[in-house]
Amino acid sequence: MSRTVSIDPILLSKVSKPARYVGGEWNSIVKNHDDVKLTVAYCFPDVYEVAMSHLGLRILYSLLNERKDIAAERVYAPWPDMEEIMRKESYPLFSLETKTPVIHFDMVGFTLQYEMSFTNILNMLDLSGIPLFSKDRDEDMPIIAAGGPCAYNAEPLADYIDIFFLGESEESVCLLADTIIAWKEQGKPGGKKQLLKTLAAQQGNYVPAFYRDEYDEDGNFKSLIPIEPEAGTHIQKCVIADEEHVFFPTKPIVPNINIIHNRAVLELFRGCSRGCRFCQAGMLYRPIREKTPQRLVQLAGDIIKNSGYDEISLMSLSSADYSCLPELVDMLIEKFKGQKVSVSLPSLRVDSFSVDVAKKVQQVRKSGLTFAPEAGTQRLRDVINKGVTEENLLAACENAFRNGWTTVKLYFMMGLPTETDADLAGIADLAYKVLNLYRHITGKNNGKVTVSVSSFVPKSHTAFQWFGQLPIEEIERKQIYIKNLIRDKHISYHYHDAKTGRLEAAFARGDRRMGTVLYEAWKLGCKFDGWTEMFHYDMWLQAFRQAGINPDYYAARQRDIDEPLPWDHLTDGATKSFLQREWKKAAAAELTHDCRHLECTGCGVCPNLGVHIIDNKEGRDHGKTAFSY
Amino acid sequence: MERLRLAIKKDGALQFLSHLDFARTVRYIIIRAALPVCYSEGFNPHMKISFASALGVGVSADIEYMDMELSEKIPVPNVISRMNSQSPKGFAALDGKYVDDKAPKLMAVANYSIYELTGPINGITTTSQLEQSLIAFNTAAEVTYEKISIKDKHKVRVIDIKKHVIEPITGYIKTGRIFLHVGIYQTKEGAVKPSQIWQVLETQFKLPAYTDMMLARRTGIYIHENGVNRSLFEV
Repeated sequence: MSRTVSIDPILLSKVSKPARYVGGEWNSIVKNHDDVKLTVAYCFPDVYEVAMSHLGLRILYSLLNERKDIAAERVYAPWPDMEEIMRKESYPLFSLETKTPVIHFDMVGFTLQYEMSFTNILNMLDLSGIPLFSKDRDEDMPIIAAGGPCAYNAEPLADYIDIFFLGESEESVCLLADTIIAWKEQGKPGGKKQLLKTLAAQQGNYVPAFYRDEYDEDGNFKSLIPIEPEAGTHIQKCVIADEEHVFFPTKPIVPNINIIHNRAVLELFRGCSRGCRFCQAGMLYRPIREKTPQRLVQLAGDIIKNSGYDEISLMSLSSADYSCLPELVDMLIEKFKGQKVSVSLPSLRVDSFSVDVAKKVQQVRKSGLTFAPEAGTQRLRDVINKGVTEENLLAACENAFRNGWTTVKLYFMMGLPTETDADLAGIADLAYKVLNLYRHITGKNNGKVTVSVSSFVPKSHTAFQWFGQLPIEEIERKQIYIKNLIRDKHISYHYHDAKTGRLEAAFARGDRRMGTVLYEAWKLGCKFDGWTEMFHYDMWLQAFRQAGINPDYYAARQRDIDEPLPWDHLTDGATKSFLQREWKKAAAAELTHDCRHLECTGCGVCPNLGVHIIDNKEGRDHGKTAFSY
Repeated sequence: MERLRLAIKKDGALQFLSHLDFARTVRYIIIRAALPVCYSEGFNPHMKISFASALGVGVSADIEYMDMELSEKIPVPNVISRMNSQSPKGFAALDGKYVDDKAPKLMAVANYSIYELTGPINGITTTSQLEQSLIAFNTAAEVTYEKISIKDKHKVRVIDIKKHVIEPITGYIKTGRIFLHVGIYQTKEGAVKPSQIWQVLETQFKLPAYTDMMLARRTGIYIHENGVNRSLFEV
């Protein structure tokens, strides 16, 4: 039995929110490590309140703990005040459940939700006393694994992670566990390398050390060469075909302190095939697979009963697209009648129908509605394939204003391909149109429109993966340009720091050489880079200089449509030719329809992965022929 | 409507909760226990529960009291076992009693708290040094400190701690730690925090401790009247 970490409560009471570090939450699961065959530390590289709000790790945590032979525990990044105490008093990073040092687990799994959390991964390994580089870790060290959306471009982390998992793990994680348990029970034949070889042959698993990266004479990425027989040339994601019956936790951990999303969560469906060309999630999680309302109501009842939560959030990439949403909302309201449980919809579609549903769930407090037209003109919305019109938006707002809402929030992006100042002026125009609509409908002047404009970060596995991000100066000019067009105190305008986006872009489409930058940045003290107050762009620029790498090579360079990409070997099932076709259609402002209701658009996911669209209204696959470009 | 008064505890992992977080945790327990608790009317109904005190982050309590309003009179042992079967470690309902629904609020009558304060010794010290500090404090006619209001434009108020510490502080040293036994009386002007007393002892009375290294455990809370402590169940 490994020794556990016990932190003096007097020291603990000195840090901000000590409850982040003590565990003991309702529904958290504590097992004796002597009674299990496998121990897993699930790590989220951010602070407790963010980490605990993430559904993915909660699913895997509960799923693995269903098994008697496995103990899965949680580890989150300590806030700097706690880190200082841990380093000063030599406390290693430990799990919340049994306070076991991370270094004593069989497997340590990180979730990769956003690029700006990468330095925290290095810092957490270091706090654990685990060597950062895979090559420096001996046989006694845990297997360091990672999954989540950023695993689809794993290369910047290739030197640090032993194995990446692509896709949805509810099924594959059990095979993974069985494989490791069998290997342990046989006395670890061939050591960790043999285990990784076995795992590399399983679907969705990528072992970066089994590949060599090659560059041409100009230093451009050429290819990744497999150097072990088990290493495949293409790693295909794992996907759950039967979303209806897949495991979903009904005993969520109830945190003792308030977290970002402190409510019960119901996942309505996976995937979104609207096909917005900037959106990575829309590509990574295809195809659409819905649960039935009956199953959802049953899950909701169990979750509420087991947690005590008084709010349940209907989560999905685009919840308003759930085919039976009105029925589901009615069923939930009926189910929880008299129980003081409210239902919430985190995202609304830009149409009047969405507002009708919002009306049902937000009976009392009309806090404000959020819509995301994403771009200011129809031309640019066509370029990004956001199938939304000005009429849709105004109809949605009219419905909202007629029903008592006074505040509307509009999300846009800037720095999109083909964007001109006319498109930016369109953002201001739309804001004014919405505000004037409010004045016209209500005859009052107390309406409020919030315009939030983020700067676009091109991501791998999207139609815009070839696009060079605009220079920071140009993004900042655009930000001010819009600002000068908005002169009404009833419209508030927000924009995001362009520098964070620069860094995200470099990592999102970086190759293995970006790993050096990460290491230099961590050594300089970069961490919690997603937190504005902790982000030091100057330190990052220094890290790039020390690594001899120009961030613009990755972030700003327009890529050739045929050049090899560092993530070509990691696939979500969609073909590169589909994305190339979408990239060309974008330039011509041509729309691609949603395959959910109409014919197949040929992304390749269904035939390549052997899965189907499941839409409760359309019926399973509704007799369509799926094909691949 | 039935008003149930419960004696509860807050310790272990829960001692690190702020009052608001602790109250939320208790609300979840009550919902999971499926007790017929009452809610206020209006747009934003809230559960009708209230506590005797607001225990800060790090402060544990062997005993705290809470009132809750139930729509039916459920036997006390039943309420206790239902709550305890739905509680995270660190919370427990210990005892309970239905009280008159016109009884004054817990907050209004609970005016005397007894704490055990613990912290590591600063440097080398002896029991007699500790005793000297405490005697000096206990015999002083007035012990003041300046309280700067954060909410009220940094207005400075002079507080006399002796108005709140009405019984002598006692203490001892064990395994490198100082233990103090302190009662805090709440006057019309309010109360002082245990950390404030610790700090004043350290800075003004040479208590061989560290100002910011102290943990408080509340061992009792009472109605203090005419020199006598009464239980909050006696109303």
